[in-house]
Amino acid sequence: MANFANLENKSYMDHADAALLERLVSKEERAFRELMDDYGKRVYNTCLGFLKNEEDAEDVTQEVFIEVFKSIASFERKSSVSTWIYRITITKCLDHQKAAKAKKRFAFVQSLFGLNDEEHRALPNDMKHPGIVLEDKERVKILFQAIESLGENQRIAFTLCNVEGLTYKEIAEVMEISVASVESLLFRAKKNLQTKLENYYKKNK
Amino acid sequence: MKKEKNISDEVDATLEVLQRISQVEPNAFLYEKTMNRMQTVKEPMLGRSLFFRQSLAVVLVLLVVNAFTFVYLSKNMGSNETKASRNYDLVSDYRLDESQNNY
Repeated sequence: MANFANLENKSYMDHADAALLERLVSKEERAFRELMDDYGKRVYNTCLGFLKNEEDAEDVTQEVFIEVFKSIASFERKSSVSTWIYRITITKCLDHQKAAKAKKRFAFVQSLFGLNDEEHRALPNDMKHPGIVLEDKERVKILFQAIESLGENQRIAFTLCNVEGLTYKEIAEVMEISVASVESLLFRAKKNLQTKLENYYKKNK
Repeated sequence: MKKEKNISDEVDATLEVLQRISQVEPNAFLYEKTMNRMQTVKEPMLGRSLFFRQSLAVVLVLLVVNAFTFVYLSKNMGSNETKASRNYDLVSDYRLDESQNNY
């Protein structure tokens, strides 16, 4: 099975991928389980990288696989399965973040009218990332806040590169842009992050 | 100078933290949960109900603003006109008509 860190060795789809795809299209249940065994951890960790909260990440991981299962028949095979799953993952994560922001924006108005009290109390979203050691927690929180304030493309490229460890070429395939654009996005993202962190520490030291 | 060096060190240390974030195993029952959810939950309803509530909140806010505007304007716009001035206007209009008829 090809994995996310192996996107470049392909004429879009390797043999194992093609065989698995056939079984998925024919709705073979064991194929679904295999797919989840192979990609579940990576999808979950990508979601964690974007959402920084394990409950949200699990929720979105399930949504990603539901989407994969539902749309496997319409997969055009112009990219590898992993690239396709990555695209779905990123889209779902961004949708989830947008929905959470919209929820936050309307929470105040809704609470004025006594609507939606339960949802208001359960609003997202404390950082709850199980992969972070305790002593790094404060720094990570500051860093993630800075990453959140980047533009969408910069944020995606930076997270895929630095949190997920994808190569520039892999990121280019997932984002459907050129490698040069990825380099430019990452350069700007790093520069912006440094400026934001410097400003933060100047204010808080 | 020393303060700037400290800030630069802090920034570097913060960026280095990314290298120490470890990969996490997902829930052991991810497959079962996903399958269960695929068969039971109707996703769009959540979104629809959220949008409905948001729209309702916006409509209510607009109604309140409109009501206040209406009350405010109805109190202030007609304040120069009294019963006496209205009667005077009627009489003067009548006189104007009369004088026009004479010519």
